[in-house]
Amino acid sequence: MSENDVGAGPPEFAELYARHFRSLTLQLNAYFGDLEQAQDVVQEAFVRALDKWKKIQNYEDPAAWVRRVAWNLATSQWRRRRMVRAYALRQRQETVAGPGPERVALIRALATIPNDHRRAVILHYIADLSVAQIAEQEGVAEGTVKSWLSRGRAALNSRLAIKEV
Amino acid sequence: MSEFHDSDPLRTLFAEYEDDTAPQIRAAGVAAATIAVRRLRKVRSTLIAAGVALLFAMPVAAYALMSRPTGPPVTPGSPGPTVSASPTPRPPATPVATEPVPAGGISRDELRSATFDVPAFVENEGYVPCGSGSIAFINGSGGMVLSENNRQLIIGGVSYADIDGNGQWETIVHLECSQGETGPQQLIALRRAGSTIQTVGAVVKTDAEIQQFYDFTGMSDGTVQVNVRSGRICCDVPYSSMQHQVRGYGWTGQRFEQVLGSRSFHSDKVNLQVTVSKLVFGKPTAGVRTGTVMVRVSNTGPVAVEDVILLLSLRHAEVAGPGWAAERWLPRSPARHFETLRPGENLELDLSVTTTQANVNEVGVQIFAFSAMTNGDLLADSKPDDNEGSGNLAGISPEIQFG
Repeated sequence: MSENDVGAGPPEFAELYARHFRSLTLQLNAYFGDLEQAQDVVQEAFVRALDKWKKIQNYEDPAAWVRRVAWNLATSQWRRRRMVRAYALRQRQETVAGPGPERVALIRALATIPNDHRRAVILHYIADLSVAQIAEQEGVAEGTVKSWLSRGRAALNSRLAIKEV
Repeated sequence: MSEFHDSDPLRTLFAEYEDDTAPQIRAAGVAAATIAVRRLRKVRSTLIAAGVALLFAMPVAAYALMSRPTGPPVTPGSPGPTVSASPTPRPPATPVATEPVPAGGISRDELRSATFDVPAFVENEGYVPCGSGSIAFINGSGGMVLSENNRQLIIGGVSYADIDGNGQWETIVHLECSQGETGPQQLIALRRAGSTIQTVGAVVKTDAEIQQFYDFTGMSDGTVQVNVRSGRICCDVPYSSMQHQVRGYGWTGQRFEQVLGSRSFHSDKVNLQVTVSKLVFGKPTAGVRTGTVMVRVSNTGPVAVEDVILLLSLRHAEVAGPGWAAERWLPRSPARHFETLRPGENLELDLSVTTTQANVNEVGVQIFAFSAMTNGDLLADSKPDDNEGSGNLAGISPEIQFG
């Protein structure tokens, strides 16, 4: 496959997409509280990966690259503003079904904690990343991640009226 | 992680959230991604064919056409003067051509499989530094040479400068500790020492102030000119949200020191606002249509803008009328300078474009406004989102402009 011809997408890319689209969308939806935005951002991260696939396929962990790009896109305020404008231009209709009460409570609680804590909690509970992996992605010390997780967890427990274990 | 138990009630809640939400996820699919990439590449190739640079998406490259001042490239091999003060006037420095490789220079291909010392990167917020010391590079796609948890030490562009004027040209190499779509960077100078490659020193590194380089070139006077940014272009960050400057660095015999350009970024935040009317086309004449759009630029900020630059990103169209030319900071794109715009003042112009496109809905016209100082520094805008406008939907291509 030449660089200018992506064909139907290489099989390895399709496998990566199938394995990680859902999990990444769940992570970003928990962060945004907006499933459609989460899907758009994850799709764009995969588009960027496919565009650079010749290089990325040689990476030790291509999924980590996609995850990082998706989170970079998600946490970019500029990106979010452009998405809002694009949304207005497309005048799309909201088609997502209403969330269940547990999901609403968790998402609402997540929205009240600081962004750093929220990312760490989501990466821990949904992406199943270790402290070291979160530290790697966020570019901070492992101790910082432990602190974010601990404080984020305590805040969530408090807001959701969960007793500490 | 021992501090988080399997019996953690939060884990149960997150599992319920996943079960509840997963069925509602609608993946656009690999086919849609493939179509998006095809479209992306088609637009890119169209823009390149039209002479419009991928100015906001491109990584650092040795951009030999960056011209301060204008003039023909220096023939590699001609002597390069030193940067020390001289009582006699000198001809203005010009960019050094990168082909053929000058005497003493090292080609990019050779570097990609070479071993040399890499100075330490500056640790920067949000990024983990790559390794330093002696590193053996291996020939790899895109200059990717090191893989450790997806941190990639990448050899980017290469340029040449005779930094000490001895007739043997040093090689200036851009290194990026790539993490995702960007990461810490540095320019280093290398020279041959027998059969080995010796690291002379770091020309400049990204740090808390200089967040990113855009392009760089060795100059005929032995200096290295670098286009530096006060922020990182990544993830749709608008170009006008950060400052852009050209700074020059010269070799003192012991280290590189800045010899040209502003020494810090400016504190003033300007605010330009662009509004654009609908793009309207007339009837074709000999297959060519002319479209007109009214552009208004308002200075809604508290300070005067010395030099207003309008930049065009055109798809299937060419600008009509005088005054538009490639701009040094934003090379190969049609740009035009306007005089000082004071607070509260407006600038209005009727912009005309021509196209041979039968379907005018395919024509894209996007206008960007930049605030510059008379020395060429581009200033950051306090509301960069409104620094751009488009006469039609086809002009909006965020993946190209801010990718």
